[in-house]
Amino acid sequence: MSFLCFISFISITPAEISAVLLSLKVAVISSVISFPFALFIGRGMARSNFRGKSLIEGIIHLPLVMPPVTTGYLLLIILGTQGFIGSWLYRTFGIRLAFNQTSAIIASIIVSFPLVTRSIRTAIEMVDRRMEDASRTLGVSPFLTFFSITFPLALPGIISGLVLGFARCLGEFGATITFAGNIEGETQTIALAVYSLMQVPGKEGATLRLVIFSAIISLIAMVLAEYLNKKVKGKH
Amino acid sequence: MAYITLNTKLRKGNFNFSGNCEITSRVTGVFGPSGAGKTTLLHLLAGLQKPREGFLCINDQVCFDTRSKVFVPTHKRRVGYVFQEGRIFPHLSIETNLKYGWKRNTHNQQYFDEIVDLLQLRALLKSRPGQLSGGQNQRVAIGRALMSNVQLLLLDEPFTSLDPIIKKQAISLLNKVIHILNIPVIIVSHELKDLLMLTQNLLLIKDGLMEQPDSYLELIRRKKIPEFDGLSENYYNIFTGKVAETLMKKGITKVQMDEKESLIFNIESDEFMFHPGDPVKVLLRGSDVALSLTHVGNISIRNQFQGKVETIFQHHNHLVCIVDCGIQIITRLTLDSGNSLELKPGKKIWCLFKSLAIEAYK
Repeated sequence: MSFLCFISFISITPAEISAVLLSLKVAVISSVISFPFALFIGRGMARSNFRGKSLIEGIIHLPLVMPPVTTGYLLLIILGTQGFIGSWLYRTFGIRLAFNQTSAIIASIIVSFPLVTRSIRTAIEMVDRRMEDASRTLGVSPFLTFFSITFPLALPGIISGLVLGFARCLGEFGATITFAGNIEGETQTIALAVYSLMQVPGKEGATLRLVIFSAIISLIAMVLAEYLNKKVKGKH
Repeated sequence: MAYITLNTKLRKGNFNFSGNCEITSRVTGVFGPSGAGKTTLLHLLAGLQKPREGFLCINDQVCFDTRSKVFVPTHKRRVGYVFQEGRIFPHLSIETNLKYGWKRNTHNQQYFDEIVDLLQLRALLKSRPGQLSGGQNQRVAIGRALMSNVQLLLLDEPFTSLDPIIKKQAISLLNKVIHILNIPVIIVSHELKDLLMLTQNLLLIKDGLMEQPDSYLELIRRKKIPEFDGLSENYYNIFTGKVAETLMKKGITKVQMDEKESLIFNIESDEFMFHPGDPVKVLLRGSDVALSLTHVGNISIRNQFQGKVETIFQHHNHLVCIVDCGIQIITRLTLDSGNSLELKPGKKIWCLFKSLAIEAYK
């Protein structure tokens, strides 16, 4: 490969930068928003028994087993401007939830949520309940026991869950293209940009660049997770 | 006044647990075979288990009453629980473990220092839980429970994981702690000997059925211990006294009994352990006591005390005989020995036992 070819390979276009930044933005915001809910539901699933638990579990896990495109379609008919919730939001507050960045974030949250919840639930289930009992006998309420005993002991699993969710958001395609569309600079994440570039002859270099970026981001996330995991486990 | 009043019924799968009891002694031992329901009792007291029906009152605080639908949750009961396996939080240092409940309750630095010194934990404060031995683990668990301002202390099989030497030290330390504390203490064990070194008041549990606590001697008189355990070895004499004299050259330490000061036991000397005036607990197995109709001269046995047969009964293929020598000495002998001595209540008899047969605890 000549020097010029190399330069052209590393010269990134604004559209590509926008796709990378948007992917990161969507993945980070989705992860941050879904984490407290996933923690709450994961704890409930791991530690509580109640009527309808299996049903709720099934609903939460639905996006994991459904094809993402159908999830996106469902979101569209629920939250789209013609949808039964979306139309009301649009009419009453002027809020549009489809075909914009918010919709890309919503799609990412919905598809990554079961993965994060499942990981958190498993991590909490692995924590010895007897430690929680010991904490309560020391005069500490169940709420504080969760944050002082269960959470730190489950932290390695929780971190893994978050990374898994983050990676799922980065790779999200089907639900996003259906519910948020493929609008450059607005909803076109790396996955969507790669798909678009693949349709255009002569854009192999640009496609490869995005694929490499995607790999680097995923790798950094995993290395960071592994580092945090080791740090947490070292404390135990 | 009862420290604890409990009346309960509980069902856990196929296991039923029930009984009524009033605990009036400050230190009570819970004894029973494995699977009898000892830990279930502790869980009920600590609120880790909800009864189907019943009533529990600890130091005048109603902890549960199914009739009036009262159930005080674990964290509000102030019941310290030292679990069998210690349950030291693995992600916290020993100091943070000790201060875990302390921060939210007492928060008194002087008390913290007292407990740390009493349980000899100062050198361990910066350690991680994984670095501790079984005995250290147990001490940290006791310290942690005491820090959280408890009104009742529960100890579940505190000596299970300890080797014999450490166990002996742990028993001495626990005796000290129990006597300093001014709260009721309940200790669970399937080892009667360990339990008796800490208390003579026993609550028996068998097949999920609790009995009213009573003294060990009274339980033997009522034939409860032999009936209960079925093991012939389980007759122990535990006496408290203080060191009167140490005769190093003779290898003997003389211990004056608290109950009857004129009774002096000869025990094997231990120059590292005993000094005149030291309080001491002695343990003597019933099977190590010989009975004789007369004092025996020219014999190696150093301890010979005259008394009267107070109680005698047959259990399986042996006799249990309680001799009143000013203190009650429980003995176990074969039917043949008993018949040849023609033992019956009121008969004068000598109890003989070797100094080496006595185990002494500080």
